[in-house]
Amino acid sequence: MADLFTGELHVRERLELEAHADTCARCDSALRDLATISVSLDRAYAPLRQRGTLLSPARVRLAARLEPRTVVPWWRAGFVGRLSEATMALGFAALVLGGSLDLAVKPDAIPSASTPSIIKDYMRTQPPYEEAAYVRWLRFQLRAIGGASAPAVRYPVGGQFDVEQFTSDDASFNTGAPR
Amino acid sequence: MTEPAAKRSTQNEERRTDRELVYAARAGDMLAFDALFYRYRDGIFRLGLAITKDPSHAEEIAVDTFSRAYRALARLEPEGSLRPWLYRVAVNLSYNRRPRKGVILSPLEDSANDTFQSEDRSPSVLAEQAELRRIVLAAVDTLGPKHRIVVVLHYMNGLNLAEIAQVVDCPIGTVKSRLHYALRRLRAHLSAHPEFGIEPMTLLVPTSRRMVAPAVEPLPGEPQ
Ligand SMILES: [Zn+2]
Repeated sequence: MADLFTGELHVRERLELEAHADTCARCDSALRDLATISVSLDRAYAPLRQRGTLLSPARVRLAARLEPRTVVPWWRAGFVGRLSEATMALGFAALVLGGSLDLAVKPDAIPSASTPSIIKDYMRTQPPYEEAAYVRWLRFQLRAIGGASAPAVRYPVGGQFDVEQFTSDDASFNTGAPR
Repeated sequence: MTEPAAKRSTQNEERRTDRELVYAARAGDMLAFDALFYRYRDGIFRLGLAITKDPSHAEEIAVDTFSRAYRALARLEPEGSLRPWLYRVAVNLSYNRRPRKGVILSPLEDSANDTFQSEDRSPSVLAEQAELRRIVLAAVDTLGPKHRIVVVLHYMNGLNLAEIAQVVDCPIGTVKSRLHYALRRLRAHLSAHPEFGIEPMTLLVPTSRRMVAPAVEPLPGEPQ
């Protein structure tokens, strides 16, 4: 009977059911109740159906490049890998101590010379909230990934997935996206 | 790319099927991936919102879902629409997050009230309608996850039973019986509120949440 309200009933079945309800008080009442519930559910979700989000695809691309963070050790993941929580903690610790992080890490974990300070890097890796600034920031991050000082990050998703299969030149961000 | 050219190309993306867009994105066409994103981001955001009740969680779920799609591009083979695949990921991600307790949808209603009720109605009527919505959504929240998701996908996202079956990965008959069961439970629940004018259950009284599906008798005239 609920099929009547989920669009799953053929016209003929529907007519038969309605004809039966005309002569049967119990079915008639059950049908009315189901109609009430269907309409109530529809109304209850109506405000939600009008909600949307202004999320940008740039957010997705960045997330796709950053995850899964646990697989790639942060000191090998290059620039963006430093977004990892451990690194944030280290960044804070270094801030608190007022010293360079270089003193706090083992020699083999020291960032290459082209990335001067992990504290500055950490600050730079904070995404700005505003959209245009965010895209600028993102381009900067992606350039950093592709840079010689930072090895490409590879993600093992269902086997092999090479992140470099996607170009990160600026043109790919001028999407002319509808607003 | 000039402005009109960009616009034209965006319109082209909109006409392409999900399958075409997936293949193009796989070959490195980022416009194609963006088109998929714009096509489904709101639906996934709403789905996450309906389950988690938290807009920031819902946005994270949308980002996570598409980021998984992005990383899975090489293996995606959508028959028709990519929607079932995306929704399935989003549903799983949503249920892996704890829904906020006690925040029964008030944040969801506020922004939409103005547009939803553009017809002029008195504040008391609006308040009454908001209360009815609150009661209905609270009743949906009493359903178990399996039944709730079917209700959300059908009444909020507007998926038909076949599409829901693809999302939750079970036979259409199972989806149907879950939806029917959910409606019966809601009927029992809402009959306690005279505002709905639903007659108190005489033949079905699944009041205890411990009762399982077979404890509910089929409605008269219902097939099987
Ligand atoms: Zn009857």
